[in-house]
Amino acid sequence: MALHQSSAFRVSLGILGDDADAQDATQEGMVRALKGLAGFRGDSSFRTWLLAIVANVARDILRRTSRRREVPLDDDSAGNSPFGDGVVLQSEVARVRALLAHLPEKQRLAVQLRIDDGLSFCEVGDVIGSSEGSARVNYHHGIRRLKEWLKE
Amino acid sequence: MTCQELVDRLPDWATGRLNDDEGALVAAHVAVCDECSAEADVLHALFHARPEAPAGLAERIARAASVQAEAVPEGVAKRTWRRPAWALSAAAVLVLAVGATLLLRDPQGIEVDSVLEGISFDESQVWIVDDGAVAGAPVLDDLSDEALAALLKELGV
Repeated sequence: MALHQSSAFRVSLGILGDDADAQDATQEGMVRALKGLAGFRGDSSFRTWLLAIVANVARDILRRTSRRREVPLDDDSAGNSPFGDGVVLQSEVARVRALLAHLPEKQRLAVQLRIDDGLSFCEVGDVIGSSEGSARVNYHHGIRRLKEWLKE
Repeated sequence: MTCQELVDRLPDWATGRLNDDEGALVAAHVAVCDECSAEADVLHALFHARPEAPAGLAERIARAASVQAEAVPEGVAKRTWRRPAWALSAAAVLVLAVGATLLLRDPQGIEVDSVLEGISFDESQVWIVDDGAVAGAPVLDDLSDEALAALLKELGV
């Protein structure tokens, strides 16, 4: 269950980009899942079902607060790239993770869910609300873009 | 193995999720392919920098779930609790709410019956709603025994 909590937290964080908001979304999503457990039919994995609920809650919070700060790649305040001089990164590993936050939401979530949690593309699609094929495309576009940024 | 054949399995290999046989096939390709090797490095870095849920979040969720459970609506009839069919479901929910590590100090080798024995139900949290369903606890009538067993297994019970 601790594994699911971390997965739920990462999904929330991926959508909201803010630790406190992500904790709120994780809590609300998991409690909502408790209340709606009768709606779980077992035709998808419990984890996928839970993460889809948490993702919906996080998107609701995002709509209410508009809090996620998207930094355009050409934003002067961040340099000419998302890992410009204005961003302090402790290691290459942290650098890759920081770049992930700059991907479009569906690409970001597709990469996160596939890498962090080992979901299949079909399961990724269930969580982000797309087909398996679209989830696969979003994942590969995200990875390709990360590799391009890392070469800059 | 070509890059095309490997591309969907590379994430599982880079994060240690492939079995030995499949892993050996991917490793043999990565060893001679700079492009796949570079991508595997990126995936490996992403995986090892993944954030975990903050300490205290599990307790926070458990408290929130408890508050929800205590919010008994007015004007509903209550009845004395007897061991109902949904007890197994309730056990699953409690595990969902507080996490196996909080509910059970030693999650190794735990049987479902022992989980049920460790749970005390507050009668005030169980009541019958107008349609005859038991409220205050989840009802998984449509879930097969196999699906429920899979759910409990996934929850770590």
